Amino acid sequence: MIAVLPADCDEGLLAELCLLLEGRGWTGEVSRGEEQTVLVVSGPESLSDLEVVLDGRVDADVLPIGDARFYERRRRNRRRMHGLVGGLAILVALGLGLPVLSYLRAPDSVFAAYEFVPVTSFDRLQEHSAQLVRVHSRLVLVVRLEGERLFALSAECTYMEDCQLEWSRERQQIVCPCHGGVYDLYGNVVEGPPSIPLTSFDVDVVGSDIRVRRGV
Amino acid sequence: MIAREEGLFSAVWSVLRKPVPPGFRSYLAFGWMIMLLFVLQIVTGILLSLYYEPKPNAAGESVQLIMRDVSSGWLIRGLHHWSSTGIVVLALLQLLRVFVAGSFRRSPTSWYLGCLLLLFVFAQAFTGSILPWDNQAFWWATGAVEAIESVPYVGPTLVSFLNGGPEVTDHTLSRAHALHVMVFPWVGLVAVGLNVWLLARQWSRQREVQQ
Repeated sequence: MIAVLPADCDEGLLAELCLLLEGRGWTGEVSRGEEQTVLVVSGPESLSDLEVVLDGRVDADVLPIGDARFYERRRRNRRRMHGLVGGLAILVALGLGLPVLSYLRAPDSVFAAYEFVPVTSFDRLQEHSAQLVRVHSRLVLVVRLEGERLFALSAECTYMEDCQLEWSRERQQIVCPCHGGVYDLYGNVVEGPPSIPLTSFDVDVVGSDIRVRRGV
Repeated sequence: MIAREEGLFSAVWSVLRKPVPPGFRSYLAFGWMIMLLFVLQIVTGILLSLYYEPKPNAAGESVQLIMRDVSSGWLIRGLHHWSSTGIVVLALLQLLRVFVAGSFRRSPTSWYLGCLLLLFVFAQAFTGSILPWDNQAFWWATGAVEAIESVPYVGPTLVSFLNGGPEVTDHTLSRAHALHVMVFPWVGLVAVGLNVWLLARQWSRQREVQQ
């Protein structure tokens, strides 16, 4: 234990305190500083016993000091805490780093989007009709007018992407059943709430196959 | 009282039980939290720019690609989106704190710089919200542009600079992208750097006085 006493503590009083401590089987060592005097007490007694000895004799603050096992425990706890924090830091770094690494690898659809994909054929797509197809996870409306006049446009309304567009044979336009948006075959907004035109896709014909790719 | 606990949980518990230093206040962390989110914005912004295409007929498509096809794209875009919202909220709270506590008197330059940074944060949030170029972004841009146009004297000039003309068109997207990616981040970096330098100088002066 350490007792912190005033810097101007009387020498006689200090000697008396040391004697009292030795009488109880303890040892006391005095260290004088500029700001305070420190009395280091070693012995088997408790904090309250020392306070009883000092009480009334001098204005002192007693700081408890644990035994060797106590400090060993604290050191062990500190090491465990360092390990825990380090482990958590590694987990956080992995948790953020792995998604970033996987993000850096471009998905196949990025490159495949620039290649023509066969989606339907003239046998299945009659004149003045449309067919809904999927190109790299995107819904595309392929419209056939007369002969080989073909158009391919995104089938998702730009006003609200969850709304799936439909081909209107009567109007010869693409309409949205949700909010009444209407687009022409080039993707331009004709009427209704949308403000952004539809994305158009390139169309290619090989034999009777109709192929589509993302517009370049 | 001497602690006698053993084990990992007691190690955690002893840290949690440690008293907080007397000078600490939660609101002092706002500035550092904004800095952290700013760094997150830069990192996720660079990652998003790997796939984003600032072309009117491809912007929406590329955002959809990031959200649907790119692995963890939703996470990167989500972090970019929500950390920008966090910066707006924290920047407002920080300025409010500095104003209410009267701290601006100690360093007026830092206060003006903070106000400039708030404007920069709003400008970044505005230009960033245009980039997906979907219907929502279009109307958001139209509404914001009309509001900016009503600013006395400089409004119409600002709007023609933002749009490249009187109305929101495809050029608005190009200009928003240029400002969001190539102009404002540098302005922000310089302003943040200056602010940190001013604060560091102020702290070292305070320390000298205390010593």
